Amino acid sequence: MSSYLVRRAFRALLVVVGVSFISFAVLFLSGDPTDTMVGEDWTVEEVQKLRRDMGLDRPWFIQYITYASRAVRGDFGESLRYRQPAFELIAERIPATLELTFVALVLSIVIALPVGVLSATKRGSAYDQGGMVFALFGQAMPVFWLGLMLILVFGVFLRWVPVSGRGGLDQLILPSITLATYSLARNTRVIRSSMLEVLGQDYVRTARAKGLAEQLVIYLHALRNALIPVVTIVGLEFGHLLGGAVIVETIFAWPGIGRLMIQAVYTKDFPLVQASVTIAALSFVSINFFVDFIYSYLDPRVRLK
Amino acid sequence: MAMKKFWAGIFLTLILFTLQSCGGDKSTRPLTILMSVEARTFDPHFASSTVEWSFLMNIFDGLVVRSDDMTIGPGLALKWEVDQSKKVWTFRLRKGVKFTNGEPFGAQSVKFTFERMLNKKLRTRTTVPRRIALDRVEIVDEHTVRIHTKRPVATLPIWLVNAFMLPPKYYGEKSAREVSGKPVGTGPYKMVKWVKDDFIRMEANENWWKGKVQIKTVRWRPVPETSSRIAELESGGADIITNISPDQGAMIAREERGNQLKAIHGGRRIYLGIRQNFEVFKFKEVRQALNYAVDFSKIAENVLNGHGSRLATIVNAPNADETVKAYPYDPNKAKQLLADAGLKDTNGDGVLEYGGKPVEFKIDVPTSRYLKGKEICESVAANLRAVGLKAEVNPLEWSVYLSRRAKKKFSPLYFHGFSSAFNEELDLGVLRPNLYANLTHWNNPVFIQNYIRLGQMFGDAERKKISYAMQRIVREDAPWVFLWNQYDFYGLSPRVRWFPRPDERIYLPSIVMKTKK
Repeated sequence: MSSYLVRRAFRALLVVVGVSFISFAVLFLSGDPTDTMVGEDWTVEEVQKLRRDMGLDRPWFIQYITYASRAVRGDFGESLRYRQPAFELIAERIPATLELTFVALVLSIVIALPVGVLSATKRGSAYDQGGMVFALFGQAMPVFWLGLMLILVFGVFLRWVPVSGRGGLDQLILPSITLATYSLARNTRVIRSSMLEVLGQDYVRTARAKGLAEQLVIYLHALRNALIPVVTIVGLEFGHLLGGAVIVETIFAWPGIGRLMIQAVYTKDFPLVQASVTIAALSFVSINFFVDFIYSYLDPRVRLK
Repeated sequence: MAMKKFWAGIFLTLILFTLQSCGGDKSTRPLTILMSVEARTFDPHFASSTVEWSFLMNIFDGLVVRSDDMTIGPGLALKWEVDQSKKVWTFRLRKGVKFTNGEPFGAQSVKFTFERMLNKKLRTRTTVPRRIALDRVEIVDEHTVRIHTKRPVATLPIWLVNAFMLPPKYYGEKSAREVSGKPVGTGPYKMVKWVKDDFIRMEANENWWKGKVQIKTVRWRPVPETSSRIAELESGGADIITNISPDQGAMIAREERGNQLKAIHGGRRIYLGIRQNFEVFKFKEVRQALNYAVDFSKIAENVLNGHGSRLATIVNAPNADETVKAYPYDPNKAKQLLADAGLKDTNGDGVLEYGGKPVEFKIDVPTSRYLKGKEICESVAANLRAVGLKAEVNPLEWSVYLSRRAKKKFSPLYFHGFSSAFNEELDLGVLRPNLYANLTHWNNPVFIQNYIRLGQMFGDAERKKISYAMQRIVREDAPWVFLWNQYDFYGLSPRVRWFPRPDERIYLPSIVMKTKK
């Protein structure tokens, strides 16, 4: 068990280092950030001086080593645009992103669970087909388009909810629905297929044969086992939601990490991009690590592999 | 079953009521302005973007002020004069002015402000000291200062527009990080709250030296997505929205919600830089031909919803030479000029050749940076193909565009727009060969000599004469394909009355909130 976890932890560490290195290299190849910091009236000499002053004229690997040696000590450097510690800027925005992703995650599970189970138990019925059409649409609709449609209908025409921004609970409605839709659709399908597989197992037949009520068979015997793959999916889902938040936060002017990252990439704010990418990678691998841990706990066969 | 339906109905109605009540009463909310980008600092010595200057001009005042009509007038300085050497400027300061933290404004504040700009430890980003060749600031008395420059700089007052005055005690005692988000000035408003990427709240400075402002509370919000900004305006959640395109603007004006579209002839000069390291662009005839080949009226009609006219001179009004006329659309003249330069279509494929090679090139254009940049370039490329030049549009993401600029790897034509300081010298300065953003390689010795002379000339009449001569040189020598002065489009709610400025800044005291009758 412990060697399994150590192996996973080592792999997770490799992923974080790899991601930080690749993002640094890609960003570096796209040019240095001085281009985005100079005014239109700057002369060639002034730009060169700024580049020197900021240490951006040094070879890329020297810059990476400097960054990495600081980062392992928890110092991600200062944002070039904000002139504030990069980590501090991210920390300021974490609550907004967590709030959005958490609500979206809960929404996607709470709705997907009954819809998926019912679709499986009433396989082939109008309910099942309706549920699957809904799932298909949910997965096919681009997040960007869905967000704008929701804004138009509920924000502009009906004026029920605010169009953008963060503050009240009402402002959370549209962005969380937008963000949750894809995950909701996917979770519904996963739960349905997982349930269908489990419902065909011998122990379910045995449960039914011994005269248990259908509800008990489904919720006590089938659903518990059907949830194992769902746990993995939910773990991955969190990462997916963080990615989706980049678009949703932009459409709904939500002050989260996604928007900060986009701005940082556009303005080539190296320290901020590096810090946010590293932290995103870290949270993603931590969740996966945690999921692996739970998985091995739920399914003893995993530990033996 | 009927019971179930009943409860479902009740539940649904409750949800609808809750949602509806969430909307709130929008008529009582403060003036709300939505911009496309966020500020990163409120420290005038680190600011650089238009949106940041918009915020700062409402919180701070400079010694001089650029009014809504783009003329320079007294701000915290009542009057100023320059001595015989043209290197010593004396400013008489306004009396009885206080910063919003209670510190008095005076000569000490001016001295402190300029010295802070030069503070090496702070590594400020302001270019003011370099542009005015600042030597030192001398305090004559409590309300008089002298600014000594290393050389005569006729444009000094223009540069002081962004040199906002700071209270010495506050900015001297606190770190740059602390003051970055908590600015203190003498301006019409003070910043009350800043939640990054979410909103900025400003409240009126009741003791502003110019008097009381009409609007007491203002909320600024960065909303990056244009459709969302428009939706906010249409849903009654905003009063002023910035950065919209003409077609989206037309949509706003069509709506029957009383929203208005404001289109303003801006100062940003949009052009195609002609890179003279591309062989045929060395010839003046070819550069002129590029200009004659472009049918801007069609571009305005088809791409810009009828807004805008062709740029005639690189200097904006009121300093523009009215006798300099824009290049007319004349494809026959363009063909003639190309033939004069030695470009011929020898194989009859419709593409001109020079030195045995077809004349083909790309037009680099940044996407989503300038208004309809890509669409304008596509029309220009079609115009150029019609006269035998094989032009192709090369759309680039802004950061890629900047990176190519840094490596000087632009295509032979590149789309760009220079903002304006509404001064002839600064407007003409964009064609200096050592300017980072100028990649034309255009180096006209007469223009340069005149530019140097202009920098040392103080009399208005002489400056005008030189500036006009330079404008004619630029028109004739055609370092650019002249396009247009970009229009800025704003959406306004029925609650406000406002005429936008051509410098893309929003000055709150100029906005009037209509009162309910």
